[in-house]
Amino acid sequence: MAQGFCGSLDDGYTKSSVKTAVHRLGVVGAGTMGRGIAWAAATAGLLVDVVDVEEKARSALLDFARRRAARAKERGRMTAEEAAAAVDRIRVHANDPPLAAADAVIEAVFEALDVKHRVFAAVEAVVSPETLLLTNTSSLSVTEIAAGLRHPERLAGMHFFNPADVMPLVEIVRGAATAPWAVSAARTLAEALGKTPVVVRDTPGFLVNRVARAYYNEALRLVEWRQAPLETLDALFEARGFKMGPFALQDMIGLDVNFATTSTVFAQTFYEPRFRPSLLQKQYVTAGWLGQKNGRGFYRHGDG
Amino acid sequence: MATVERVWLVGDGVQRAFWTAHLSTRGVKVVDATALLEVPEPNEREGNTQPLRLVRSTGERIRQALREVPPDAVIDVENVVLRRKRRRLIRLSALLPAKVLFLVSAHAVSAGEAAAWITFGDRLVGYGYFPAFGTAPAIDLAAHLDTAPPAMKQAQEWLEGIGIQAFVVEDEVGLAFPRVFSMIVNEAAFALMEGVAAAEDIDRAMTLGTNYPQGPLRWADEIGLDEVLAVLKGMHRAFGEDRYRPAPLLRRLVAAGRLGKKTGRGFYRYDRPDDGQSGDA
Repeated sequence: MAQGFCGSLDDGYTKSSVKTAVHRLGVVGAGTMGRGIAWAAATAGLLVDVVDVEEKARSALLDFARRRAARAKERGRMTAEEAAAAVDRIRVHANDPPLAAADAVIEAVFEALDVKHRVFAAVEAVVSPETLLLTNTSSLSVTEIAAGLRHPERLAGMHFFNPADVMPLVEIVRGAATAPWAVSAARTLAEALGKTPVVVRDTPGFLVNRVARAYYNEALRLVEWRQAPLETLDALFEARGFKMGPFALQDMIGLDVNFATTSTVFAQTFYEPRFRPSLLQKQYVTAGWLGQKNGRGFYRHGDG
Repeated sequence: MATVERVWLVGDGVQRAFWTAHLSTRGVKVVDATALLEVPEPNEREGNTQPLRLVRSTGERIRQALREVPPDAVIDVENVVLRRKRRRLIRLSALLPAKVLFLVSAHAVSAGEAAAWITFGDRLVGYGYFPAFGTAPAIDLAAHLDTAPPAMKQAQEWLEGIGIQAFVVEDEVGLAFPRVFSMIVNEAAFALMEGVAAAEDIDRAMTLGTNYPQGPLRWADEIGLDEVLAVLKGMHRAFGEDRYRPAPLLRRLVAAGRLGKKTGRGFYRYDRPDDGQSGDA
């Protein structure tokens, strides 16, 4: 995999001291996104240090890696030795000091600005000034996350899609202060993980979540206006080539997650009407009908 | 229920190719009535030394076509130039017997608005269609407030009989698929205009990140940017909400004649009109 890191940087002022080749990746946060990122990196041959204060989250991440390894073996994508080696490349830690050796650190913690600020302040205290810093935020401003750092220019957004080890796309987000070398390094890292990076400006919802809002919002409005039952609309969109209709898709994503994303983009754009959240969706969320994960959303799932 | 063996197709729009190709495989006789109905516009008539003869010959052509290929249904495919759509539908409704079904595109005006233009508007049914590659034929279908139930039934049975899946929705500008799809393209156009990402990156991100069957910008180029703009303008006019305002970039591209693949340039550049290959963004 090493040759993947040697791509030339076209930023014109590459700092010679910058670590553009990432051999060792730090991951802060062992939740859903963190574990997917950790496994993607481990299978790409990187050494991965995952930090999470929760013991349960740390062991769940290792269980996840073992399950993924077993599946890869079953499907013939990895030999038994390769799978075992990939799991071995992941180390979990309760606190930050092991991140000191990392070439890059990606944060995948709870989506709250103060939490992210605390994480990066702690990370900056242990890593070298050249270490690339990445945030997996999907809804916060990368510029704002970087604003409190001593070296905000080395922070870029690296937005994976769930499940992170499976979905091929990564949005590389250029914050206002992000240096071109950091963007290049993030792009190179994404490619080394086998992903397709797309560089985007730091605007609300970045690219995919923003453009996808129209699919959900307008379909919700059709139901609110009583223009068609949601089942008809899902069948229509699937017949027109969309893999999942807008309502089946919301059930899979989680209505609460979808509603939170729309609400955040709406607020961050100073209430652009295109992003106005749907009252219907809010009602489902407040009723506790969140989708597949709790048995009922727009549809009923399982025994629910 | 009366079957449909002969169709008069009117207008110049994105659905024309679909109907022409599909109906011909089903043995339905299709007459292009667009040219038949063309009368010079008032400003075009100025300086014309023989206006009466022109009008008379138009009438003669129509009468001849009515004798030779009397239509069971009229299918309208006009979304962009609405005054022409209106004029054609008014003329046709005055000429044709009341039993002729009117299947009218509801992309830029609702079926109900179009029905109010014509005589016997109760025979009018609205539909919506944008091409979606690699899918079976499917359209949105809508009765308006005063559509006669037999007309809706005839439309549904006929479409089913010729292998077109009709998804019935309530009547409103843009119906369901054209409406939602145009809003996706509009957002992608806003994002492109604001430099969030390059066109190719936007398309790549939407196909890889959310499994869209095609990138919205390239898909819009296939459909025609004037057609997408027509849906947005129709909704903006009808609903009066900022939410539906077309992205300025989309408006500028259409004004410049960059209508997509059909003119060789839209969000992307194409080597030749209707050529499968694309060039740079």
